[in-house]
Amino acid sequence: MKLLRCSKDQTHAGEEGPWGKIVAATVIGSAHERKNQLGQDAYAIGIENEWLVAVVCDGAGSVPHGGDGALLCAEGLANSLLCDLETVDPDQLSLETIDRFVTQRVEQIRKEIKGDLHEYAATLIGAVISAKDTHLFHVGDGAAVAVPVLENVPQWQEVIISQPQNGEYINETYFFTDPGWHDHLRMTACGRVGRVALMTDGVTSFALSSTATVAERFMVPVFRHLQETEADHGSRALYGTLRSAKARLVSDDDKTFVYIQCP
Amino acid sequence: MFEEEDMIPGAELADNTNQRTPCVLLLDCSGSMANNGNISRLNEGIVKFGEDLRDDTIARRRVQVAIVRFGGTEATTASDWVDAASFKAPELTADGMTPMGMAVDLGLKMIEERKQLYKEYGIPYTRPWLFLLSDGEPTDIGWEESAKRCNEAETEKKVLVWPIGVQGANMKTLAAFKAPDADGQQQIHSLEAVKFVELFQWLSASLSRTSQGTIGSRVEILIPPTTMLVET
Repeated sequence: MKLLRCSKDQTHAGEEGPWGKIVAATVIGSAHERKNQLGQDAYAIGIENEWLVAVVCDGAGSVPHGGDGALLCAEGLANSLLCDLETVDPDQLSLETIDRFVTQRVEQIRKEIKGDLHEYAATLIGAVISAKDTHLFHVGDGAAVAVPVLENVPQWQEVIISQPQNGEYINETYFFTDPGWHDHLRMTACGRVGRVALMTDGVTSFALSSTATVAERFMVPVFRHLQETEADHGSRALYGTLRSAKARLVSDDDKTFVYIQCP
Repeated sequence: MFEEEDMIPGAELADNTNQRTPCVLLLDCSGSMANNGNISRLNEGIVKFGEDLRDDTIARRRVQVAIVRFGGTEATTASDWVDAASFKAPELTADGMTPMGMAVDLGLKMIEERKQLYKEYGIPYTRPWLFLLSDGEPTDIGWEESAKRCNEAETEKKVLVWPIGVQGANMKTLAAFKAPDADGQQQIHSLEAVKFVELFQWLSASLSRTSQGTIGSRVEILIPPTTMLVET
């Protein structure tokens, strides 16, 4: 199994292989930097045989261990879902099966957390990808974007988006640690798509438009650049973009963006 | 170190969120506010408030402000809802009694109408603020019912209430408008009359932080430049 994950020293990563290309970057927001705090976003991407599982989590800033919760959830889910998928035939995978796997594994992570669950609150955005199709799963805000490709060109008019979900107020959302978390688990079957992006809410401000579509003036150049450049170079450019003064002006939150290019 | 070439060329980083932070200021313009130059300092404070919000690149687009004045026998809209970028401070004058209950009812109504509008147009918003400033005590009949409604609205998280008592205010009646916090305490603030400008500077800075607040995070709001009184 190959596992890419963020850590204190590994804030961006790019990998290419027969399974495609992955470019990921996570940036600490200025709100946390000002207080000398660590970032509270986390991502983990696992690859095994015919499967790629990517999970991005955003720890709540209002609780003491939000960042730990994000890391536990991202890594735990990426690893355990790959184990679940080991014996599954990609031709037979249904949305219901992934729903069951995600539900069981999130419950397991919740049980393994010592102490007050609420203190580990984090959102959850994930994708299970095979050569056949892509399934998204999502709790809370942030977003997942899946784009079909025709002759290596993303078909933006057919984009599928798992949208952010908030409470009445924009600064309220749902977490995998909430008692009724499963009521807010949203599953999306995308079919075969060539590109997938997962992002936390620090990025959605400029990656999504105000009309619930993608902001093409951000997403199109990003996808084009990441497609055309080597993964490592792409990850540096992605990191630099998320860390730029302009991005920080739009949102002082942590920012994580994972790009997956299927072969 | 990351250089300029380490950025993705052509990626536009626009703020598409369109979110709003509504704040209604309920300002006491009763006769007693004419004493010691308080009304002049209040006007100065509001002007500074508008300037600070306009100078803040994010708050100027996200914060929306309305002002209700209460004095004489009625509470009226001195400035209707407007983006902070376009806010112009009204010139307030002091006169008559203190119909605080009427002002609170009008403020709550304006907030509910605003929220309906946001919902209608799909505009995301943070919890509205209701800022109540007085140097006296309510004189209108039925203010207790208004206080109860305000208290309930805050308990139901419909609004965040900030009661500020200027020197001479009846802090006990002011406290009736504020719901207890998670520890069962009622946090109201007492302001030295000379500190109106500082108070409004604090308010604009706090609204700015709230308007930039990230989802799932709790925004750290500093205590206003006042003395905090805790009702037990």
